[in-house]
Amino acid sequence: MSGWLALVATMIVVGAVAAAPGLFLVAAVTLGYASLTRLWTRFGMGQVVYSRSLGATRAVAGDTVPLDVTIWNRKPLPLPWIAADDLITDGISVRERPVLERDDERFGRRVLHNAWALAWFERVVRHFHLEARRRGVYDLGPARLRVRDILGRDAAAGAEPSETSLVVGPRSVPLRMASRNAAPIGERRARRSLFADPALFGGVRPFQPGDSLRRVHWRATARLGSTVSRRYEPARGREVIVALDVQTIPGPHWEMTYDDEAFEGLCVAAASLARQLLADGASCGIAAASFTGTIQQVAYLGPQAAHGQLARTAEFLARIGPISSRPYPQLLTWLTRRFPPGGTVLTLSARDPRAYLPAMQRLARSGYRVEHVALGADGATHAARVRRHGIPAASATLDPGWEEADALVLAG
Amino acid sequence: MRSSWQARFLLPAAQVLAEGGWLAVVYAAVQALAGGIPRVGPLEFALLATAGMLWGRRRRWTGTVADAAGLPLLAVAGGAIAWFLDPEVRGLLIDGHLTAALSTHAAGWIGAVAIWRGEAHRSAEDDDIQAAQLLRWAVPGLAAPWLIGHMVTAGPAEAAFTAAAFMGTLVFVGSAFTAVGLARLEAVRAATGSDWQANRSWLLLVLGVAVGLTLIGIPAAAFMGVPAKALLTVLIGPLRAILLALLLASTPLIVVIAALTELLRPLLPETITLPTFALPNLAVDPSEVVSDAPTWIFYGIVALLAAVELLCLAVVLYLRWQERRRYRFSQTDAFEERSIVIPPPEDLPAPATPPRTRRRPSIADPAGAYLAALDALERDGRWARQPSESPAIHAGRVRSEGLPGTALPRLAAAYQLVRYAGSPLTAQEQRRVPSRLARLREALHRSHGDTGISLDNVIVRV
Repeated sequence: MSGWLALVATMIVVGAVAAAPGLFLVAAVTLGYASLTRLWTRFGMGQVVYSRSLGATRAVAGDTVPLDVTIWNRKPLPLPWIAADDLITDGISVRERPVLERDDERFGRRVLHNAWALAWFERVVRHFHLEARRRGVYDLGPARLRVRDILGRDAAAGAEPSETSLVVGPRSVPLRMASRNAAPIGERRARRSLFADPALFGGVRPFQPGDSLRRVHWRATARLGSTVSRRYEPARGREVIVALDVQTIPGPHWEMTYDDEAFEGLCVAAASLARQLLADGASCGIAAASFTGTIQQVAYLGPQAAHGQLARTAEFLARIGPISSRPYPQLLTWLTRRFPPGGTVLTLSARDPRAYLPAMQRLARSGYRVEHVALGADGATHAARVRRHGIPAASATLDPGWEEADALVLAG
Repeated sequence: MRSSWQARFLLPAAQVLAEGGWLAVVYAAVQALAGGIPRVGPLEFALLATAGMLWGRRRRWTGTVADAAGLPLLAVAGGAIAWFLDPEVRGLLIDGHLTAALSTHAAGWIGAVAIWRGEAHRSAEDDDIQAAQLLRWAVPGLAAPWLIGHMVTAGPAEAAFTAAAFMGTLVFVGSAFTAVGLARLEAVRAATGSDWQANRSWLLLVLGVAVGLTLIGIPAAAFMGVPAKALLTVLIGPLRAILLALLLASTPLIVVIAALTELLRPLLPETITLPTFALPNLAVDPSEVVSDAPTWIFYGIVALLAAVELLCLAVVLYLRWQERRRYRFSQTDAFEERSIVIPPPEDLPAPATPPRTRRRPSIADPAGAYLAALDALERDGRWARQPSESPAIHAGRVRSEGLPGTALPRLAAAYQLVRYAGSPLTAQEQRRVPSRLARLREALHRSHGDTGISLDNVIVRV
């Protein structure tokens, strides 16, 4: 600005000395031009609110999630040009922007570019649709904002640091038995039980004749004005934990190679098994030797039969990756620390079981009920190999693939 | 997505007018240098720039020969046209004095520059860059021709130069700002695919800036002595053209109304007298008219204008219908929603409170003198009081670290008596306070000269 002012002052001085009034006009225009550009440099980014809101923070692969991007100029100064570069994790597509450029600064991010011309106090909402085709955790943000002045020059810049995450879980498909004599998977809990577990408080219900006075919930009775009794969950049967083998290619676990299709199929199979087990009333959890964005080497979700367990399982499967953090037999051994004997360990793998059969046998000898599900084209062979060692096993297939399959078919 | 009509017609028009504006100022200065009167204005240069732009954006004749020879030839032609606009040149050429004609109105060859500048806008994608650069450099750059023109002219020649340069400057400023705005709008559309119709605020803003600058420039120029004739030329020229266009456009309506009035006249009571309007006479008198062509030409023009107006009306109605239809169908899934939302008062940021000015303590007061002493020590930087130190401890540390004198300890003691003990000082002690502060400041000043470092105690390590 000082340069412009010096130029204007020079024009005025020269115009006065040379008695050239035209120079005053040029000086006035120059001053107006410089002041205009300065206006957006100083006030352009002030009182600008940028926000994004997702229609849902959790989704299933194949869902379309609405995304609203809002920009609000909360000041009387119009903005000729304001752009927002919102970073989105690679792998998700925006229906309205089929092509998103890669970000130069952050690896694995793409840029959702938006530009507006905003009047005074104008708020603009753009409705996008995120198409979640693959499972994963997708971060949106931070956003970089740029304001240009009336001449199109970059006048000011800012950032909107807030981030939003969209967790996309894998698809879950119904289980189908290939033949009638196929054994069901896992243990089941009785829907109705003669015995209730007093440790599993499940809410209150109206008092019924025959209820013990010790069963009356006096505080709730006082609050509601009518007598209510405690309700307990039925006593649980055995718990089931799905032990997912994320390694898809034979060899050392630390080799960072994997079969992407097989891994996605494993995730779909795990979600489908968990869904079926929870629907049957089982208490289901899941474990995998994979990183989930933390330093922990094992991802573990304890068995529960609660209503939200399926969503938690889907989020678990959304966060894990195909890189194995430790050998699968070590995971099976590690499970004995967190999972009490008597429960069922349902091993799910897409590779030859010979590498982890000893660990499965040790689990069986330790009092766990071990079952195996072998996924993939060689699933029948692998399942037969496991069965020869006295462990129940079934082969599972997703036809035609994990993206289009309408059922997880179990055989054996 | 296809660009809108603003981008296809209005933006290039604004660009060539801007080019014509600054070239007219330069032309006026060069003409003034040659001692001539400006004959070519911004409009003529804008037309030449249009020819250059059309050449640059052509789709045909894109061979190597056309690329190599086309622009130079066009530039020479443009320069020749501008040169030919001087009546003196035409007179000399008619008289056969080619050499004399060539030496006259040399500034007209700036028309070649206009062609070249128009061709510089060959890429519509760079419109915003071109317009911004033009405004950035040409605005201050106009000072040079203005200065030259004023220095080399006097009297009527100076008035003529001022009129031409002023008109050129105004045309340049208005059209350049408009061009920049439209170009930026088009760049936003290209970047985001958004609809121009939603960005009318931008258009209004840029036009407002252009009009505002022009309106400021006119009285400013009048105040500074730019001739009123030039202002009238600027104002009346476009106004006259607009009035003429309106008159031409309304001719069919006037004719139809007149015809209807003539037909209805017999039905009206005799007491009502209508003004008379003479229609063109269709009854041709062969003795008076040699040819009936003017009458047919007149009715032909009226019919043509009526057809054009009806066509325009139909197009406007069709576009409105399309817009409504599009709007109705887009209600369900509008990609973008715009609204003006004034933030509620509680959301507005509180007005910035001015920083509280610290009152300078009076040095006649013991507390004020001590605070002034603390300020002096803080400015000095060596013995600033730490937050954890009491006045007495601070004074002791300062003395132990080498500041001579008893001024600070006594000031600190007086401060503690007044502030902490609440007991007033005696009148004699009160009188000594300013002199103690002065001694402290002097001691601080002296201590700067005595750094305690001498050649004797400097150890040089090799």
